[in-house]
Amino acid sequence: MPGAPRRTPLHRKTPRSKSACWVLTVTLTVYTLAPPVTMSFSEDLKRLNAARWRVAGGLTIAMMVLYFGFIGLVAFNKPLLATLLRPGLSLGMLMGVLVIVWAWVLIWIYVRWANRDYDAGVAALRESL
Amino acid sequence: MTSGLGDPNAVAITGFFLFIALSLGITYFAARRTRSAEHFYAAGRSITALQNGLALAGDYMSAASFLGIAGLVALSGFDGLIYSIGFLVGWPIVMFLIAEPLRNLGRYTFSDVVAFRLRQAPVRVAAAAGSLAVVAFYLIAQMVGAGTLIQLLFGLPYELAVIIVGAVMLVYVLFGGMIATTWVQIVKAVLLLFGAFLLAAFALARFGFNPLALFQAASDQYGAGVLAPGALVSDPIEAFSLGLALMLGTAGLPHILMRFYTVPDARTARTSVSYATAFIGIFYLLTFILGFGAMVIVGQDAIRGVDAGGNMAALLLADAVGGPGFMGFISAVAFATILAVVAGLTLAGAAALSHDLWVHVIKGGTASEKEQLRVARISSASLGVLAIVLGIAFQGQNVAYMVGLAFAIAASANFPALLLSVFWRNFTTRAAQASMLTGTATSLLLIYLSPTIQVDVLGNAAAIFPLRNPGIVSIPLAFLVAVVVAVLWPEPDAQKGFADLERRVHLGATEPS
Repeated sequence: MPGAPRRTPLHRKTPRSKSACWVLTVTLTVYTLAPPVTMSFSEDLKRLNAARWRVAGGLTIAMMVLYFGFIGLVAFNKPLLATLLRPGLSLGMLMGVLVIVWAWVLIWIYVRWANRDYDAGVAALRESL
Repeated sequence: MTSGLGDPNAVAITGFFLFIALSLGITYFAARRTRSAEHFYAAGRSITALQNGLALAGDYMSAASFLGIAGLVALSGFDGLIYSIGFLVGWPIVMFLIAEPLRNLGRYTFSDVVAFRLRQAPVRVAAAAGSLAVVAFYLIAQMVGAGTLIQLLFGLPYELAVIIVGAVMLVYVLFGGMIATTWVQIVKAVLLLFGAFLLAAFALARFGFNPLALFQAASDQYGAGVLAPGALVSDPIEAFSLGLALMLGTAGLPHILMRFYTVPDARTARTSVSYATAFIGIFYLLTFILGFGAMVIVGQDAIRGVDAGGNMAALLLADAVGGPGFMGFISAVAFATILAVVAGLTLAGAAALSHDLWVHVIKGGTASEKEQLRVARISSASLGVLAIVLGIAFQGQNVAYMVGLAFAIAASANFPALLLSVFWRNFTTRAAQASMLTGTATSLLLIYLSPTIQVDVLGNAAAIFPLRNPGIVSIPLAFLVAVVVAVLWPEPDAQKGFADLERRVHLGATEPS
């Protein structure tokens, strides 16, 4: 699509993704310069790469925090999870359902981001080849 | 309570034969389209997002999930739900970290991704070892489940039941390859979701369609303890170990990872995971209802009376709320479930043997289409025979637990190397090899030293390793070994290849280079 406006949503930084970026950088990701095809291509790829793993890493951490929080309560605070919120519904069961719903919500956020921002970035990158 | 278990059930038998006839019909049409390795392993990359979502869900909702978890919840309440939840949370991890890079980097197996910029042969040998270990444990669980189910339903001898399942499944895989396996999986997933939904609705109807009334009845009958964590996960470290293995294991299951190659591109892979997670989530929420429903309506003593592990809880519930006809339908669905999952596992194992070991290690990466297909079929047939032998040898093992171990091996052997190969520039061939072999060996060894084998099977007084699930030791160890080996023995060629990998992670293989 010649002349299509170049979208730049990948430059956005949110607090959530910033902390995730930090953790990922420290632990696993060493994102690097791409091959020098053109200056703008390698810069764009670098930015796209960073954005993708910032979002993916942030969402992964968000999933792990809630899930291992749940497992932590199962392991260390059984009486709390046994608290009855109303007859037939314990806090533990509500949390269990919430973990499943949380997984759906995070996946929905990811797909929304990927379909709009990430795919636009990939398309732009393909064009600049 | 009397049930029709053990007597031949007309609806169940008709259901079995209808499913087998339908799936063989699918196989016939698939066989005519299976002409190349790409068809055999990846269904010609023609599967849509919704189809793949259903097939992924079908692969994942195995007999262990349906029968095992329903039984676990029926017998131990909340503790069983820990499995339901753990099995689901692996999917966001697959979505965020694995699915799209995998689709863009590989062709048929996850080893393609690990070996992308590393030396092919050593990586593929290690990856095949990990894959085959996972497939073997998973196959044992499914075959034992199949044998027990058919034995209980029809009074057919266990061995004969296992042989029938192995033989029918082999027909799908040998002739129809991934196209037949995928469509069998789709049909089964729809049947299973429909069956579970109907069963839950029938059970809930007795409680005014109010799940809380059902849970309240369970708590009135068996004590408030059934709604809270109890004895099943008594040790905190054990809880974390199980949780870690369930969460990371999904992203290392070869038969699941292989499905991402059946879709045309990364975006379709992405959409298919969201469908799969929706279906699987709904299914696991239904297991809450099925488990507690069986606990209240059938009763724990009646469930234990039929099978000590509780594996028949869902079928007994079907009998209680819908009569023998409905139980026959649910039995046929459970049978279809096992057949489809076994076929998927065999195909994944065959891909490890033929694509990774034969083509890339023995033949150095070049083999004609004809040869690839022939070797893939020979591998499938050998694995089918192996599955039958293992199923007979491991008769009486706990089904859900065996699947838990398969997850632990997958999370330790495959996941760390797969993740690091995509993310870490300095990852090396030796590190991949060391990580995958350490993960496989450690998890297998610790399982052998665990109370399950030492105390329950061998009858020793105590076990050398205290945990039943090895994940908390074997997963971090596989990561640690990878990092240490990569730092000590750097591989400049692998670092150079990382730039190409990074580009392909985003752009895929189609882009002109």
